[in-house]
Amino acid sequence: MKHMKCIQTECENSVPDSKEPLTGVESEGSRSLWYIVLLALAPLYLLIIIGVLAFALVMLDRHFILVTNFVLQQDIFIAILIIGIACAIIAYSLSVMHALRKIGMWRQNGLRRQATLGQLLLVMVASIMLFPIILALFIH
Amino acid sequence: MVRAPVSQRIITGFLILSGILAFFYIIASLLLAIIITNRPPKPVTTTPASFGLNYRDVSFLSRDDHLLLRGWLIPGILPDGRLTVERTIIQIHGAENNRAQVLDIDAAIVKQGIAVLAFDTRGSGESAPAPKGGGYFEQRDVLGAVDFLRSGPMSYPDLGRPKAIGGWGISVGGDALIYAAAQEPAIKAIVVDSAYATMAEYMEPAFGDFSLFIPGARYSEIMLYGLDYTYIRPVDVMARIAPRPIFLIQGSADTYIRPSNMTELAAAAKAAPDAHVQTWLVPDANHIQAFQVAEGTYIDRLVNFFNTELHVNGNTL
Repeated sequence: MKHMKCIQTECENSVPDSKEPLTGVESEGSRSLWYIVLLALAPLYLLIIIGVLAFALVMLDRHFILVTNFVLQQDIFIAILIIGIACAIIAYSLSVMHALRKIGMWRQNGLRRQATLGQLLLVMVASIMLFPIILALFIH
Repeated sequence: MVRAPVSQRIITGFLILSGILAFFYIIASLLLAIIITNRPPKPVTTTPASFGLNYRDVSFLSRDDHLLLRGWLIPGILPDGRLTVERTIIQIHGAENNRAQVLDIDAAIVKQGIAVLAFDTRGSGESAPAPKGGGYFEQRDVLGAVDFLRSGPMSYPDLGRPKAIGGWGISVGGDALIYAAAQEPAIKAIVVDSAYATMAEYMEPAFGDFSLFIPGARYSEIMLYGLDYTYIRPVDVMARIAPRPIFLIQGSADTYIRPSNMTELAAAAKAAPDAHVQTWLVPDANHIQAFQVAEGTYIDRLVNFFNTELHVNGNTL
């Protein structure tokens, strides 16, 4: 495990810029199934983590600031939501870009199976992102 | 530079599109929930004095959550000119309005010897800012008004306390009144004009072209305000008001809260064995326009209802 971690870290540090030709061979660790799943689903679970944090903060706000002080309560709601949405957009964009870059590297290195799995998982992420809107279209 | 394969470019486009749509949906839903629940209060620009009426500014707290609410207590005028608060009705305005919404009708009522307590519900007029609950949170305001009339400081000490309390609610004010009357036996008779039977029926017309965002706004409201509209169903508590009399009014041309809502509410109220329910479908009246379309008749029927049903010591005055 320790060995794998070490390899992974080295690999992350040695990821070449996407504009440069890719010549290095990636470690087995970074190409394992779990690594691909974690990488490709990152946009989704990062959003979930940010959503849960924002929800918890809103709940704390509602708990500690009574409705008799509604203006303050509302200002804090809005601040939490703005920061939460900004963090979510940044996290989604960065994690998607990172995953796409990695998948591109795998493809160029001839790791087609890993690249295909990564792509499928990203399609799943995009579909899950759209799912609430599709659901709303049918149930509203 | 190596160009990404077509599949990669399609996936990238799909991810960007889904991200944009999802974030847009979330932001729009949150904004709608915040806007709907926090519409800016309509200022109170008139007073009962403009109708030549005697009145006092009053303030009291909502029951349970203790929000400061402001209103007017307008005593009834007896035929000999004396003032009275023996029979007092609590008047609850509709959404995006304030205590002055039907001041002209209040004036006609007090001239028939019935006092009116007209107040701004939470987040409206001059009352404390607070999230609006489409009548659900506002039931606490109505209950606060009942507490004020029964045990609050007396605005007219020489007139004593009301001996019979009634209620008249308009639109979501009617729903607040239904909820309040269902749990407060001190409210002896109610008039409900243009109220919804379930809030779900009210959501679609309220959202108009934005109805796609109803589910998103629903979850946003649950998170931000603890308000889930699917559980707001005044129709479910109607039967608890019996045997106290209920008068339901609705415009036949109401496009906002359809006339079927009154039918549902009446049927639910009549489910109680000792129910006492009257209904009046006002022809050609749109939402909360019954008192404009049938002005004279509206006042007559309202006053007759309270004259007949609001008893003091077992007798009508």
